[in-house]
Amino acid sequence: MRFEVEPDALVRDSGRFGEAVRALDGVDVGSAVAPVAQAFPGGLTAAAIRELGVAWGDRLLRARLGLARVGMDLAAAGESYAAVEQVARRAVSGSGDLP
Amino acid sequence: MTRQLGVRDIRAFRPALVLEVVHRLEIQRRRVMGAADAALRARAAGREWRGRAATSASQAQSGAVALLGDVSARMGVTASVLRGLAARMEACLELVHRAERIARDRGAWTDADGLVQVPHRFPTGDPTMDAHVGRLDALMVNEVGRCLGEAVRVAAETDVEVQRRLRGAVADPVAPAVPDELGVVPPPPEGGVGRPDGAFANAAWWRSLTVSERRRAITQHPDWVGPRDGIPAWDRHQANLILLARLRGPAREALRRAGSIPQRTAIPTWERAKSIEAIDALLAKRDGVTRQLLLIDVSGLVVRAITTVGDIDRAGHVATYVGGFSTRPERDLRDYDDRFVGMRRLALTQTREEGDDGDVAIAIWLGYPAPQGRDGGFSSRSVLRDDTARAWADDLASFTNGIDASRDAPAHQALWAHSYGSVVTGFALQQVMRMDDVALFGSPGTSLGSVAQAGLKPGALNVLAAPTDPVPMTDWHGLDPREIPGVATLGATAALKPGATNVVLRESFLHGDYLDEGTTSEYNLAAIAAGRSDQRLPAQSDRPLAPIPPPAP
Repeated sequence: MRFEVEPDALVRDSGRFGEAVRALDGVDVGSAVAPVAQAFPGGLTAAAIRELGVAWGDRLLRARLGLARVGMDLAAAGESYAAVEQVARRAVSGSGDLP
Repeated sequence: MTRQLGVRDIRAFRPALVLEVVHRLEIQRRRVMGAADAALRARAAGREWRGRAATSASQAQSGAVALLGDVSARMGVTASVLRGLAARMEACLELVHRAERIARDRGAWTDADGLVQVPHRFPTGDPTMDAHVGRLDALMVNEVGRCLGEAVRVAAETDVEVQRRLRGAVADPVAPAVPDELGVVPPPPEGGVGRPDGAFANAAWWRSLTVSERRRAITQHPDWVGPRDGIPAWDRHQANLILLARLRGPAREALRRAGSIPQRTAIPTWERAKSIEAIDALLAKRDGVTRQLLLIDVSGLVVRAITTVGDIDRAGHVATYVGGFSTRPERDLRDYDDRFVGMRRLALTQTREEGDDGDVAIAIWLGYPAPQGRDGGFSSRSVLRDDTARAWADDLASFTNGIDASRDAPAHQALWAHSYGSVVTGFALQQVMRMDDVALFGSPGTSLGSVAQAGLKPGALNVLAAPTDPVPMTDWHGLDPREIPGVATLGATAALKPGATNVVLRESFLHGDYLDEGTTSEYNLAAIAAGRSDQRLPAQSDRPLAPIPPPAP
């Protein structure tokens, strides 16, 4: 097994996914389309708007969770690599000294 | 729990609010794209991080970005559908407002649910004028009803489509493509068959479509547009050219097979092919005259066609000629067109003399399968029976109603009805239709008993009968129209041309001579088309013609 990593870059990327999640915070399609029920009253569309809002909420939540998950995984991977590096460094830190 | 959309709902439509929703959605969509952009900037995996874990992380990142792309696409679809919805809501509101305007023009109004309230009309003392006013009211009620009905139908169709598309945008397994527009709402069912008020529904439907939807309807469904009364003539013309092109190839092949001398069994085939040739020849004319093809139907026993001399959409005066016994496009269209080019010129001269710069257009309405010699004397299609006239009168009424319905301002309309065409016209005039002036010539009798029955204003029913034409003496189809009280009997014998000292208009001798150039009957018919009732020449035996009163309130 061979790998090459810059753990800080992973932490930086994790932050970008966090930024993406925050960008989605203001997105609420359900609320945005809700006025359609008042603007076009009386029919199937008006009746479906609430239900559509719930579906949009689910879809956006899925996207948000997906992004957050990737972000957390990257952060965890970066921290793990940093820990491995630390352990490895510690393990080899005294190897050249005479007993 | 949903219910049927109604006029009340349409009045509550707020398309501006829907457009505001679209605007908000676009802002939110930009946020989603910003999120995707941030996620795309996370590029350590593959560059600063290599190995199996890096490959897995790269896939997870791509999946997350793809999810954002999918959300953004779905929001785009939603916004586009809502933009289409706003346009349709505007169209429905415009139909409601148009209906209100039509009602208001006659002093009537519509209530919140779209019911028309007509004010009480006090009798004028003239039963003909009262009947005329009643006819205009009935016509208005029909037009308003059809306009509102169509607004409701378009709203309901739109509702179903929008609801389905909005659901698809969020829930379909794969994001749907962004639609440019909503689908074209199909035409109203009542506008496809001969109903006098079907033209109003067609006109309202056409007004509800956007320019691009109209273009799609013409190119993708020319059969929806070409034969429909109430649609502007130029749009019908474009659709009918497509229909004509589809018919041309098979017709030529059929003609080749039929040979130059048609067999009895091949006559309909031969007539179809020759009719198409006749229409092609008319449309190919380069004499500076605008021509429009408003109908081509080869599906029946006799080919039905309507062509024009002049632009029906823009003319201030429109005359519709209804042919009689044995008229067929392949036999008569070229001849009528030649004659009407001259008669239009004559009518234009008469309008110009009065300072009226409105154009004149003439529709050659061969829109019914006229009885033919081959139909014999006893079949239901015989010229001696009125079955055909009764069956197609609605179509004539629908056609003339459609001319007004397709325009913003009505034209002065006249009917020229020759021979059996006057029988058709007699029945048509008893339908809910409006006509300014009518000329029945060479008529074998009519079902009309009075001018009031025709809903015409006093003095608007004109009759021409040449003394040597035997047909008007037959009374085959009812009363000789010259005997209708209040009818204007116009000259068909030699007379001095009005305003001239040495130009004599000729007499029409035979049943087919009324349209001949330089005859008194031709002059009278042109005066009727031009709305110049003052220029009409009475029959010599008749008293001077009474002036026609101004239009009814």
